[in-house]
Amino acid sequence: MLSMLVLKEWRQQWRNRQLLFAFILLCFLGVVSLTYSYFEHRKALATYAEGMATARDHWLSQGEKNPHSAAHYGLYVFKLPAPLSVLDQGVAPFMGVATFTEAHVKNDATYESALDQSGAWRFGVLTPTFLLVYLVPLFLIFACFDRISGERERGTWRLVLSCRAKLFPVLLSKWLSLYMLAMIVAVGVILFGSIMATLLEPGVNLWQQCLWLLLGYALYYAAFLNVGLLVSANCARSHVAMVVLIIFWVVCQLVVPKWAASWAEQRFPTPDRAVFHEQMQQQKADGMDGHNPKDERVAQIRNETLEKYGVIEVSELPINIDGLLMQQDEVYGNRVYDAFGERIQQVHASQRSVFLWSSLLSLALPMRQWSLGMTWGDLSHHQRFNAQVETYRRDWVEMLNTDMMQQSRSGDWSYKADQQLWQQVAPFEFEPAGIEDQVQHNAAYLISLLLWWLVSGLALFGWIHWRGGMI
Amino acid sequence: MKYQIWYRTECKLLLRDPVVWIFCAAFLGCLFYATLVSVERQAAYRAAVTSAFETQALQQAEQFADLAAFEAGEKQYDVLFGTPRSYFTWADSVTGFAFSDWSFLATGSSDLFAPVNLVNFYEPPKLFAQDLANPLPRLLGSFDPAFVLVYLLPLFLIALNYRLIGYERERGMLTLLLAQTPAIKSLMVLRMALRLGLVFAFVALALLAAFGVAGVNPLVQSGSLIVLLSLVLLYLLFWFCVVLLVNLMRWTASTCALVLLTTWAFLLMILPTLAILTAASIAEVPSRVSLVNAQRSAAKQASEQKTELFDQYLLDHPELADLKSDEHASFSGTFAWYQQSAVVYETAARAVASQNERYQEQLRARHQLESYLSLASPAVVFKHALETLAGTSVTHYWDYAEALERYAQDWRTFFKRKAFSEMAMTTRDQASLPGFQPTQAQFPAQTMQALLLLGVACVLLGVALFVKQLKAI
Repeated sequence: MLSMLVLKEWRQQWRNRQLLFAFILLCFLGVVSLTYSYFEHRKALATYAEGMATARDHWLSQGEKNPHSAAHYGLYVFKLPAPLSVLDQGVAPFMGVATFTEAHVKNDATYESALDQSGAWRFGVLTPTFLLVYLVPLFLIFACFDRISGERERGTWRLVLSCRAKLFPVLLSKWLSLYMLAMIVAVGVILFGSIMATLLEPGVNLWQQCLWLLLGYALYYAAFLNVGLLVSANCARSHVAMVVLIIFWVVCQLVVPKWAASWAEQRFPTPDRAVFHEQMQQQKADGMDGHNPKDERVAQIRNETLEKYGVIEVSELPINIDGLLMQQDEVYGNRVYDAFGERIQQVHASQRSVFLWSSLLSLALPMRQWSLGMTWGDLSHHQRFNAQVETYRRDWVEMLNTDMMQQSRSGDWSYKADQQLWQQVAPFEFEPAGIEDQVQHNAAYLISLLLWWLVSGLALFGWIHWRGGMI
Repeated sequence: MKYQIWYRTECKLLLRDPVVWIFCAAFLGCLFYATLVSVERQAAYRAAVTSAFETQALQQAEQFADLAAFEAGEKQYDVLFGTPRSYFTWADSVTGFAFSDWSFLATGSSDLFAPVNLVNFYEPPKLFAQDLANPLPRLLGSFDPAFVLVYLLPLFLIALNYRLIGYERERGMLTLLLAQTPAIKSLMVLRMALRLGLVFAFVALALLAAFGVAGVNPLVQSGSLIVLLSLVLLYLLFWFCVVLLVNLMRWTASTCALVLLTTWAFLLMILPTLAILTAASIAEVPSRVSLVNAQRSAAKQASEQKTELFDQYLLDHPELADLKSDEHASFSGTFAWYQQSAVVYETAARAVASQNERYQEQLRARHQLESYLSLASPAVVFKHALETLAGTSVTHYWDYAEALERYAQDWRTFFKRKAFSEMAMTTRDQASLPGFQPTQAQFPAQTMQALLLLGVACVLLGVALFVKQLKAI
């Protein structure tokens, strides 16, 4: 019975040229966006490989020099694009692609591609995610706004009910026929996207990510259809249903996300960049409590070291005290960076809570966030990259300072290390979060999608039950 | 007389329609909220720029006071490094983006670029990004007045007018209307003109009120105000023409709504993204990573050959060699280091200049192509014009980047001359120390171009309407 009803709905949709055209257009845009993303990702991977190789070559071929000079010469680290950026680039264009690691200074990634874009770019980029999050729901609205109200206007709704057809299967068939179309697009795009990503990076295992992503879209489209049919059932006229649904779409896709973005920044403002860096340098120089200036810290370490080795002059020390002082300065600087980094992360966490609560007002917002999380395109992925780069910087700077401390004597700035030492600095390898961590980190958004689906589903069937089928 | 009755009837119908009131309230609410948020954000940016300049002025005044004390023999410095006499103490100089009073109108690129930048004499200048900020709000976009005008205003228009004819036909009212004395052609034109006039008056008043909320007197820039209102009028006219054209088809209200909303989605969502995608595919830009590596290679090579380069540089610039003095012979090693650093910097910059220029050229070509392709969407044209009026467009930031580049050049030259003179900083430098002056760039041609393009779009639609003729009803 149900399959026959679904077939009837499909036949009807097939005969509706507008809907057929919209579906074909959707598939075409899917192919275009996937092809474009594939080539973009391939280019990004090639650039990354070239960047890392050249940076490594620069580092190894820097010649003989004092380890501290080498630490100032620094080392570029580049960001490996996430495999599923074929589907969703996420916030990557707003985050840098290259980080310059050097002594004394913690740099974050720079060269954000968003800075090179034109104004039109802010309207959006046709990516597979843009298609799945924005355009497929629009297609669903166009397909379902007159599913019930249209039947009522044409007078066929009474005919359907008079045939002793049960209301639930009739509605379910309408729901399923559209849901399947949306899921065909989602499955197709995600499947081809993951195949393309695997072709470009043969070793990656993406099936878990894809399944989680698909689960999100399954809930998303289900909730959209619930709302669509609910509105269609409640509006006397199809055009009114259409306008109401479009308002719902605009509110979900544009108004609430933009409002949440503005509200998050207004409620929890990010510190001004210039002031933030000024304060950070100030604390490094004057001490974190403001009463422990660098000169005093240096004098204290000097005295402690002399005492430890039981000598009176630094020239008598068996180590180079400059190496030790620089390393201690690094350690102190790292504490300052950590404290300031914590401040920024707290601001971001507070802003995240705004997005989390706003996802109860917008169906698209939790889906967008879930997609970012499952494709490693969210902020936490980039924060993880920055944190790992910083650990890497601290390790290799410490290694060079230790070498200087142990291999030369105080005041001897003529000491030079060579390639043997440079080779001990291993190439940077980024370890992204596991899928379990990502799911856990973004679970609230999946729960939000689940809530939307449940509440809208209950509202739809509750309404039908209340009206006793006379809708 | 008969038209007066029609006007009155139409006004009464509009006033009695609860949908009109709901949309008016929603539009006003959105516009005022967007204005408040935008004003707060821009005020924070402006405060950051002011504070940075004030802090720098204070710091420089203190350093000059220290130098005066040193020259008067009240203070003693044995070393250069870490004292006001050292270049490194003066290494950084502040630059700031000039925000206009109208910047609340459109966020533009102001959420991407930091309002305050620093230039120094040992690094290439670059515009800082808002790298501390959460990237998600940038991804989702700002809730600013430009968003309300570009995205929401057409939707309100469509919602108010999509059933102008189709619904009358469905209710059987059209036959009655056709039976009236005034020609249906004149009637519909008058009806649309009245609606356009009322909507424009409402939006114009709302915009003026938004200026009031922002605490800005729009009459100070009366020319810009006229341009803004003209842009809004043309954008409204464009959408009215689209609505009228769709209404003239023999479609039901549902089909009219479907077609109009598809047009809205196409012009505001699909077309701009397709334009970006096409431009990116045709005009490829080399990666920043390659540029970074090229800069690095050039700096490395120049650094390795610094002694030879330095000798060659002095041969090429004998005027700098003549500046040498032995006033500070004790710091000759330090001066030599600065001199060699300046030479290495310039050599490395020269080595990548062509690559840098090519990158910028390709970027400009891509932007140009994107803007040509985006012309197909009046929404993109309108938004760009609003950003230009607000002074926050990409063009404004490119102009700022060029000013930054010029200033960095002046800053470097100042210290290079001092290094070759082998002179530490003195109080005499107070007068000659370069300072950055934020200036608000104006691009009237761009707004005029937008007016022209929107006008052309309206004329084209007008021609289509003429061809279709109202007899189609």
